[in-house]
Amino acid sequence: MANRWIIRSENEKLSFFMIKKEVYKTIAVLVSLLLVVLLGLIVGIDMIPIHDVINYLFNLAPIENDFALGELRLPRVLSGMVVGASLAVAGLIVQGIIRNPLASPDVIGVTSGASVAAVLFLTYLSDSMGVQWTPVFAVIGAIITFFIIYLFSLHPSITANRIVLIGIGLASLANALIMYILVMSASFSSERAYLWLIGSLYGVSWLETISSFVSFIVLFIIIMWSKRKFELYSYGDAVAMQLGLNLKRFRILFLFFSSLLCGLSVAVAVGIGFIGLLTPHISRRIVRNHTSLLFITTAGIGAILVLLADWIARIAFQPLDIPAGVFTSGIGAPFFIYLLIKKRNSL
Amino acid sequence: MCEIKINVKDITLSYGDSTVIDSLNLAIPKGKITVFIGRNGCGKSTLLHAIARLLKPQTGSVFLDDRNILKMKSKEVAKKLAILPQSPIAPEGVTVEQLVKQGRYPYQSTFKQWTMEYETALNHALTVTNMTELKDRNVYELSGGQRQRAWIALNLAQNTDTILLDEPTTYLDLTHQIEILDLLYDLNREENRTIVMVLHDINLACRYADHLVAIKNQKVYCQGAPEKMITRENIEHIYGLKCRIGVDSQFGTPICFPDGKGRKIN
Ligand SMILES: Nc1ncnc2c1ncn2[C@@H]1O[C@H](COP(=O)(O)OP(=O)(O)OP(=O)(O)O)[C@@H](O)[C@H]1O
Ligand SMILES: [Mg+2]
Repeated sequence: MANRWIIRSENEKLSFFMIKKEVYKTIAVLVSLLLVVLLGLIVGIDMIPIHDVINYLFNLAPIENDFALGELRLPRVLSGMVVGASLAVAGLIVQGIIRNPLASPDVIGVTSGASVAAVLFLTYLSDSMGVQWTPVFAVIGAIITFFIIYLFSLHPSITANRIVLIGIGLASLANALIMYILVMSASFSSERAYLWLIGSLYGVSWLETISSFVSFIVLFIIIMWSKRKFELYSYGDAVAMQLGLNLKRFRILFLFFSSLLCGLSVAVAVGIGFIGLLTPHISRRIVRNHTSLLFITTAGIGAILVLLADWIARIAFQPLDIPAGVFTSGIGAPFFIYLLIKKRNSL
Repeated sequence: MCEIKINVKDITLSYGDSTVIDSLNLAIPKGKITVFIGRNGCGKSTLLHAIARLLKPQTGSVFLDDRNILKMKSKEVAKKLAILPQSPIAPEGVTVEQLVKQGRYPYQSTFKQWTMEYETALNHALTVTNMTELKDRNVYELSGGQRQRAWIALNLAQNTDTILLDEPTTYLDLTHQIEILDLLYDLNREENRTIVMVLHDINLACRYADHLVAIKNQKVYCQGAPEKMITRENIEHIYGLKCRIGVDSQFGTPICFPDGKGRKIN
């Protein structure tokens, strides 16, 4: 048939179905991502010519600016991608599970929960254990917050929209806690936490970059493994259940996935708001009938948005380096208000 | 006596403290159309959900071909029994084909997404429900009747020999009601599938059902062939409404004319 590809191996052990148009759109998103990556590598305070970038990336010839490219821009761009993609996919999952387009890890307070745990760790434990454990604590914080929200959601009178309100409450509570910890702790350790909290993508290390990049890829593959469940769940509890989906197990599994994604992004940079909320709204418009492609598109667009925000933050206010979160929130917050107004009747 | 497809034994269903169905017993005949009737809120949907293991009973159990469905794997049940819930909601933007494909979920695995067999089942489901031409349409752009046919196609793609439907004709105009019921009738008579559904229109229930089950006071109030069961007394007891019973001149099935107010023409 004309508008689709059907791929089958001879013994039918492998068989897939794709709509051509959606494949093309996904490829377009990935190509745009590549362009944005190149933009971030080439254009900065000074320009690095594209042939130098290519020479460096493929190790063809030594280049003049290898410090700016290799130690500053490349890790920054790569970790920006990880942060954007993780937040976006986490947002897609959370919106899917709560079945509410207003939800996202930062809106329901999970990002703040992750931050509390990380700040606690940085101020009290990092001296004895070492800073590299921060991501683990961020993930634990995210899981605990998700678990609290999940417990609330089990109560029959808690509608999906109320979960958002509960999450907003949890987020303010978490922020208050962070303030408290910062004020009460010794100044040198709180400074470390403070720097991390306002953390722009400036100065991420290669170690952080590589480990978060690899974690993201592994996690993404695991999520894709169960994406068929995610798709079925969107048809409603009764339909999903009658087709054999275990709802409870599914929800816990996917909340766990999004906790890991959140923790991952928080560990790299905090305060990049609203990517999780915004991105799925864009990607769901682009891909509607293919879950794997939807996940890939979401990750791609999330990465594009963060990279663009970070690039503008880096370029537009030289010599200041403004955190990328300022821009994502600048677009995201009005969009959130717009969604609230549009959906006010169902709250 | 004919063969039994589903055996409901001593089942008690409740939400929190309020019991909706109380130690109910029911046998649903194989290869027949069974219709549940009863007042709003008497527990028809609740019972249907419990039969499809969407709701766990407080006590009692449901046997499908003599096997306890609560002890079967959920995907295994999904290959034998399908249910169409009352007014299901499709995710935004999906096409009819995508919706119907969900019915293959119990058969799919990570790498086996779309074998020939799945495609055959999908095409069969679309053909029978007359949806082939609409398969690329957005579900939200369909009429109520077409949408309902799409959901029934999902159940057919599931390829089960038992299909439960909760008020499949609600919100449909007369033409579409008949269209859906005719479709279900064909599925029953031509493909020998067991159909169990909730209907509110007694006259249509009498015309299509082989077996009628009235639910009242948390139990089965009475059951049997419509022509035996639909009497003045029974209707009055089930619905609390007086009526007169006539006969459909074409089908010979009972028709119920409710008493009450209204215009009178001499
Ligand atoms: N999820 C629920 N939580 C609590 N009570 C419920 C729930 N679903 C149904 N009930 C109650 O259980 C009783 C039976 O409901 P059910 O939906 O089974 O009735 P029904 O016979 O299908 O009604 P209708 O003809 O209106 O569809 C009603 O009193 C209803 O209020
Ligand atoms: Mg009902």
